[in-house]
Amino acid sequence: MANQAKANPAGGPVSWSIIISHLKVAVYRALLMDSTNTVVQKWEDQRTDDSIPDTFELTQPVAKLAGCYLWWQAVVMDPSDAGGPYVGSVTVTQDGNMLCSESAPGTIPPGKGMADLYADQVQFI
Amino acid sequence: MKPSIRCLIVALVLFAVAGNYRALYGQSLGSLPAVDSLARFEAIPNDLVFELLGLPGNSIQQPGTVSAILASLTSAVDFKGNLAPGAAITLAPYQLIMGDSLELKDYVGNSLVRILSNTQISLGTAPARDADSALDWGAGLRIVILNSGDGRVNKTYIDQLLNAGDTLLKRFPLPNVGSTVSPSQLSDNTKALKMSIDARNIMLKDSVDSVDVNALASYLKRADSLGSPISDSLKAYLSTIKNNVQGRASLQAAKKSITQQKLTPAWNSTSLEVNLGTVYRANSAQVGQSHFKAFRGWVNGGIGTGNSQFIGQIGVEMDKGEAGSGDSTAVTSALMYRIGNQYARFGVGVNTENFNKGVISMLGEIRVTGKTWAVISFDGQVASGARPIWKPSLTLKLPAGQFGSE
Repeated sequence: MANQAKANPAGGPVSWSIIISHLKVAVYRALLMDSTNTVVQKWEDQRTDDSIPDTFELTQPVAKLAGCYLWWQAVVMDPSDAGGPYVGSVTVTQDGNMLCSESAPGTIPPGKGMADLYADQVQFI
Repeated sequence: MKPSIRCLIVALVLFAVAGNYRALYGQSLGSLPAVDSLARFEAIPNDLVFELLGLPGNSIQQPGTVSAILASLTSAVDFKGNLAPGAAITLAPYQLIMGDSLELKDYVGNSLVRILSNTQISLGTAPARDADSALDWGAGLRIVILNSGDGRVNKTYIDQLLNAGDTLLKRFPLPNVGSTVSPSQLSDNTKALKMSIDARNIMLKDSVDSVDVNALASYLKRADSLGSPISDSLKAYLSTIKNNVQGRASLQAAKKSITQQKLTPAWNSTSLEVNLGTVYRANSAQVGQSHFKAFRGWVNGGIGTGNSQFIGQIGVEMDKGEAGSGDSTAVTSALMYRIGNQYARFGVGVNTENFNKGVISMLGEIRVTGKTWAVISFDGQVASGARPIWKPSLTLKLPAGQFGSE
């Protein structure tokens, strides 16, 4: 079952953030689709190289979020070239409250330029 | 898992190791006979404790999580509490404890965080090489104080990596705002990206010229087994990688870009590190009945200058002899100047032992494949008052160990 988030229609804007742990770096992208599978917001060419969450606000009106889903892909790499484990996490928040947090462990093979994929989605209900 | 719990578990493991050290340390070394060999050195040697135990590099586990450590330790000790031979674990306690709260900006900006993050502890067991039915076990500590070859502090290298990742993503474009895309199309996009990453990892791991038709064939089989509508296009994509000259050339260029453009090649980095390793011998495989076998401590340093490097090392080695052979202690030092690149280099250097014996070395190293090096050397052994004795040698250095002839 997809990860689910329930926003308060009367609340403030909803944001999502992504972080990659264990001193790894990533290039990533994401889509927000509505209930008709139409892309309503798109993030491309995003990079994280500081192990600090990157946060984005959803432009879709909160009242229309039910039925939408947030989908992302991140190519994770290790600048130490040693490879190893990491945890990719995406958190959805509204007014400072966490609506959903999805984390997944991954492992990058050792060697220069090696990569791993962190991809998942969150469904708004 | 919370950092405090991770800290507690790691502390318990370290406490257990330290407890055994206290019980075993301080045993007499006895008289010190002459040492029979001089150690070669590398700027960054193999892990000391694994070298002392004679364990090959490719058998070492590097658990990155507390649960993985526990799994590794479980495999090293049987249900009766006896040590099992062949265990080799390396772990970085600070990274394990801090886990996902360790931030790259702190690592880059705070040298103490960097030193703590790169401090490694090694634990290993191996059958004793010079005594029947005995088991050697050891622990090592590596503290990296300085390493200019660390890509995590090299912004240019990080950007190059991310550019390569961006190229991967762009190979599978996403629909624009206002377009419609089905969940299965997105799922296929992710599968294709995953396959592309896996195929690229294979390419980077091995020589592009020798790729690895077998590995790619296994991906073709996996693509077949996906049972997805995109399976055919995945097959076509992977076949392109395999057969298309242009595709191969582009991968070759990508690999060259990643392997060559790192501004500070690791081979001639400026570095300073401390290595300590102690080995004990357990005649009955019980840790509590072990006795001291050997200790080594080394400080290694390197100063990289363009295409050359000065490297130096000073260390102490203590070995407790078995029946019929005496104990020994030696202070070793080494200094070498190397010039070259990541594919070939030439060096001249000198090793000394107790400052009254030495070896003058001329060394040529050529990279045969990814991690395999051929080393040709001429060593002139010098003892006070004697003429040098020159010996040529050819060594093949592989990830699994060194093989050579003199």
